[in-house]
Amino acid sequence: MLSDEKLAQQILSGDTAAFEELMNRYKKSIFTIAYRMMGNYHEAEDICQDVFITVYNKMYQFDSSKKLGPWIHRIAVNTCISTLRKRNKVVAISFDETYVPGNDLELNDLYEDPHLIIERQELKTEIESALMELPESYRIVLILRYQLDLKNQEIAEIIGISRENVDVKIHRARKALRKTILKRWNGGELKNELPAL
Amino acid sequence: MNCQHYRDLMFDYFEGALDSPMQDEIKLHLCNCEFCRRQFELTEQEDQILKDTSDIPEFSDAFNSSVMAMIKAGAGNSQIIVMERKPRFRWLPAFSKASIAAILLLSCLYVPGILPHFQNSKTPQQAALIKNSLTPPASILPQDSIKEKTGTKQLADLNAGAGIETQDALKKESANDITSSSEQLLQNETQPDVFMAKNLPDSDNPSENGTQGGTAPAAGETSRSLQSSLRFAGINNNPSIYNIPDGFVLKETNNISETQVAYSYEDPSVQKSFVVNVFSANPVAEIKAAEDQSVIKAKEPKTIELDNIAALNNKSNRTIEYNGAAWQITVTGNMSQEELDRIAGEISLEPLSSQP
Repeated sequence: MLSDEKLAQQILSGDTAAFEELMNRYKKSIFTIAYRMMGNYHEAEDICQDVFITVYNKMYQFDSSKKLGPWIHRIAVNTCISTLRKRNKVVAISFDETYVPGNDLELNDLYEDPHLIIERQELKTEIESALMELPESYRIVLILRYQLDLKNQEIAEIIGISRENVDVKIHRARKALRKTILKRWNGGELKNELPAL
Repeated sequence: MNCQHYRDLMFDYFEGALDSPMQDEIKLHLCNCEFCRRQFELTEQEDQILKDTSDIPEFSDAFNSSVMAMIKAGAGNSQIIVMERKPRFRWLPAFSKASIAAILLLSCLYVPGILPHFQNSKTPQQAALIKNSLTPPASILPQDSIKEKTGTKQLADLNAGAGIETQDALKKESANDITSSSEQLLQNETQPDVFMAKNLPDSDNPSENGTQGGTAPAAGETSRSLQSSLRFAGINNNPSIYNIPDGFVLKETNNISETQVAYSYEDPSVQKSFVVNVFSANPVAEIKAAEDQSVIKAKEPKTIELDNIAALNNKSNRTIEYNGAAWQITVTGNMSQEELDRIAGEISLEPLSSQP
């Protein structure tokens, strides 16, 4: 099987079959990113189309000394953010740090009686809903890390930050996710006897 | 360690980022602390759900074809062209770009008409120099070469040898423009805008046409095309050839370079043909001839197929002085040396502009 980078060369020489092969390799992961980010099928499909057309048009900008996967996923992430900005009008995203520790609500204050024995499906629904409530920068790192099962170094290449920063961001995203879940369970009310994470 | 510390390590625990003793210590703590155990269980469930992609809908089968259709419809074609061009120029260092610009500028300076005074100014000393310089070494310049020309484009050199080798440097156009087959020659004859100086004597002087050995002129068109070719070729006055043997018809005139014009004659009844190469003599021509030779030395010979002039073996040289300038004449053809010598000896030149 040809490497991604070889495929890129063939695409540059006008080989449309190579581009189809590239689509087959990446459409699932791109659709996953788009679907989790947008939360609906049709928008995700539109984004996938936009992503692949952008990939085709910008292929000449691809640095063949690097890996193609992170480059394509980065286009997907940027396209999702761009679409969300258009949809929500105002979405300020910074990958450097959007989650300020000082502004963290203490989970101790949120959690009362954790109903830990719940149905898995209920939890899944809660987590998915909570995920959609997270800031986009957190949502993206969680999607890349868990849905695409990428390494932190690969995530760093995609979103353009250091691997250490990705480590921190994933950790904070998980905490934010937990906080959101607990908030939903407790109807958004702050409680005093909550366990810390 | 207290519970908070263990919970801080919870994500690392599920990431497998902790060493074995620490993992054992956490497990031991979870056995003893129900609250922490619940937290860990919740985190584990979160992990599993976050990794679960089973709810991602299946992709539409038509997705690939729809994207490809959009690309073929023009969503990406132009950029593909750009993607091949851009890096090419990015790699060029600045001095290369400057060199190309300088070469283009110098080329423009040599185009006749831009600096016509260079070509018209002649002194006896210059004429003598030209006379000496316009006889290039046979090993370098194929004097028996012919060049085709279609429209305003200068075409291929050709030579008379059986190997049909010629020098690339004399070409002003790319090899794609070179048409050498007899079929293309035939096509050229049928195109009205093709430069085909069938008859060198100008139509302004019809009385001389019949007596000088040429066939009837093409009523004015020849004159215009010839004038056009003169500007193009760099020979201010493309010389006319007179006293051509009876039966020979001018097939075409080719401006090989700025210093050389080739006239191709043919007698279909006896299947003989010869080519008269005339090397002009003026200061610009002298410079150009020297430059051409230096360039030719650096170029590899290029083979051109010529079906209809395969047997131009012999040649005869002669220098004609006319109007204060020296004109080197080379006659090449598929006939005996004696015949060629006779033709070369009888040929006369008269610049077009000097005709009454």
